Amino acid sequence: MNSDLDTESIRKLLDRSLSRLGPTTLSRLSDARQYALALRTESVRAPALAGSYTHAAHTHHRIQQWGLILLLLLLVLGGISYWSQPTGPSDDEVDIAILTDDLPVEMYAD
Amino acid sequence: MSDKLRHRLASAALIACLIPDAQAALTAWNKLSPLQREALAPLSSQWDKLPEPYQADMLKLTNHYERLTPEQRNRLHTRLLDWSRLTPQQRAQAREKYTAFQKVPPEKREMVKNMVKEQQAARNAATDSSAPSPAPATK
Repeated sequence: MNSDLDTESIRKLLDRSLSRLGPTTLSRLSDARQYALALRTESVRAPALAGSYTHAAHTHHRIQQWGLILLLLLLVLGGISYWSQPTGPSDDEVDIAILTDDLPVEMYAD
Repeated sequence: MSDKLRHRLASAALIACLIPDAQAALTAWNKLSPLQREALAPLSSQWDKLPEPYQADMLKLTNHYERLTPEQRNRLHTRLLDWSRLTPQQRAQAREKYTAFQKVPPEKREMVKNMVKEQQAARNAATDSSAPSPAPATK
């Protein structure tokens, strides 16, 4: 056996071997090729999908953030409006009103 | 005596010393402003004997004195002494009644006021007619 095979000789040998391959082997090779191509297509598409997924997740995250900010804002505004609601006159305001009212104090104090 | 107990007793003694000071934080009549003295004039003779919470309540009233009309000031002076004699519970009750009365529709409120005024006038007339000498009506 000639051990000094160069690249060209190997190529020729492989081509010759290829022509001798049976239909079953060719069919399996073809399947394997299709499978490999399919895998490649998926791997090429995956980054794009991953990118779009990341973008969607980012958008979702931002919506969540804005929702949280809005909720906090509503809580703060609600709190402000609750605490700023008039709580009625103070005791001294009522006292002075009673003491200066045109009705006598006896009307209110038994 | 343990250190813990000694510490507690010392704290209690300190608090006991501080409480009378807090209660004694009365405002002397001569320390009041001229406006406060004018507003609380009917209480001048007994001001220094009034408990601090009473004084505080009365002093709060003086914050409103400036905006009162002469008639309202007169009413205040007429009623202040009696008001200062009421217990805190009686005053709270009076506030409740007054606040409730303010919620009555104005026309009904006016009706009640007129009725009270008529009763007062009738009472004054009866007092005048039963008086032995023609002295002026007191109120």
